[in-house]
Amino acid sequence: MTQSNERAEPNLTPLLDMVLQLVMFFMLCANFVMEQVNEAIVLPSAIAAKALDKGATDYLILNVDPAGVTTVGTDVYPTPLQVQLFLRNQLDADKLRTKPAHWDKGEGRSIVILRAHKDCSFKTVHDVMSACRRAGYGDLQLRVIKAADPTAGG
Amino acid sequence: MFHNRRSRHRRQAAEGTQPDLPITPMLDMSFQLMAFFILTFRPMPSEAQLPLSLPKEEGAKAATALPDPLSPEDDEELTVQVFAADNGAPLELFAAPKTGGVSLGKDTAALVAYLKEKAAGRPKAPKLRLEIADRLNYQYVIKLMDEARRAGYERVSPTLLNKK
Repeated sequence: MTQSNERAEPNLTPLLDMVLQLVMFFMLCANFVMEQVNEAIVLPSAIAAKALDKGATDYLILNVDPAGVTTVGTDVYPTPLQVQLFLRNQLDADKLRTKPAHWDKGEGRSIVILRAHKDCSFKTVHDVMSACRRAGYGDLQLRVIKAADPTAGG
Repeated sequence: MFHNRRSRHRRQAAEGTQPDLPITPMLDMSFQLMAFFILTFRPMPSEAQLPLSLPKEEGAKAATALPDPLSPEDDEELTVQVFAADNGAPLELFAAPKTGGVSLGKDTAALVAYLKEKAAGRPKAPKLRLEIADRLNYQYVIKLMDEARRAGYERVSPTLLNKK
C-alpha cells in the first residue's frame, strides 16, 4: 500500500480571474458623475426624450425639489434669485476660461441641466428657467426618464 | 571550468524549487474590492433630455429649437392654454383662444388629435405655445411637451398663463 505525499490544493487562479473581472465591471459601471445628482429628485417621464449627450464635459446640474429649493452639488439655493447669482458667477468663470473669439461664437458656455422633481409646480420650474435666462444661459436641458413607447412593437 | 560547475549547480537548485505566488491574499483583497463596489453600486436610471432654448429677452417667446433662418418670420403659432385645479391636476385644455377657442377637455388624446389635424398637410408643424397655469404639476407639463413632440411639433414654448 503506497501513500502519496502530494497535497491536494484547490486551484484559486480561475476564481481570482473571475473576481477581478467582476471588480472591473463594477469599477467601470460606477458613475462618478452622480455626485452632482440628487437622488431624492424623482424625474418625470417622457417618451419622445432624446438620449443624453455623452460628449458634453462642462455642465451644471440644477436639482429642484418640490419646495422650490435648488441644489447644485452640495450647495443649496433656496430662491431663484440666488440661483441667478450663482449662474451669473458661473457664466463669468466660463467666459474667463474661453478665448474671446470662441466666446463670441457662443462657445464655452456650460450646459445647464434642469432636474426638477415631477411634483413641482410649473411656476417653480419656470422661476428657475427664468433665472437661467436672466443669468445669460439660453439653452438648457430638461432631464427626464426615458419611457417606453406603448405603441412601439416588440 | 570552475565557473561552469558553479552555474550548473545553481541551475539544479533552481529546478528543484517551485516559485510560489501567494494567490490567497490577492483573492482576499479582490473580494473586499468587489464587496465595496457591490455595496456602492446603484444602477443609473435611463435618463434622457428635452432640449429647450430660452428667449434672450424678457417677454420673448421660447422655442425648443433654434429658429430656422430660411423659414418666414410670420410662421403661424398655435396657442394652447392649460388650466389647472388647486391640487395641480389638469383642469382643461383650451386651444386657439384668440380665434374663438376649442375646449379639448383635460385628456391629452384630444390635444394630440387637434395638433395632428393642425399640422396635417404642412411641411413643418407650426410653433406651439403652451400657456400653462402656475399650479400645474410639472409631470403633466412634461407630458404635454412629450405629446406635442410626438405629434411632430419640435418648437414648443412653455410659458406661464397670464391671469386676467
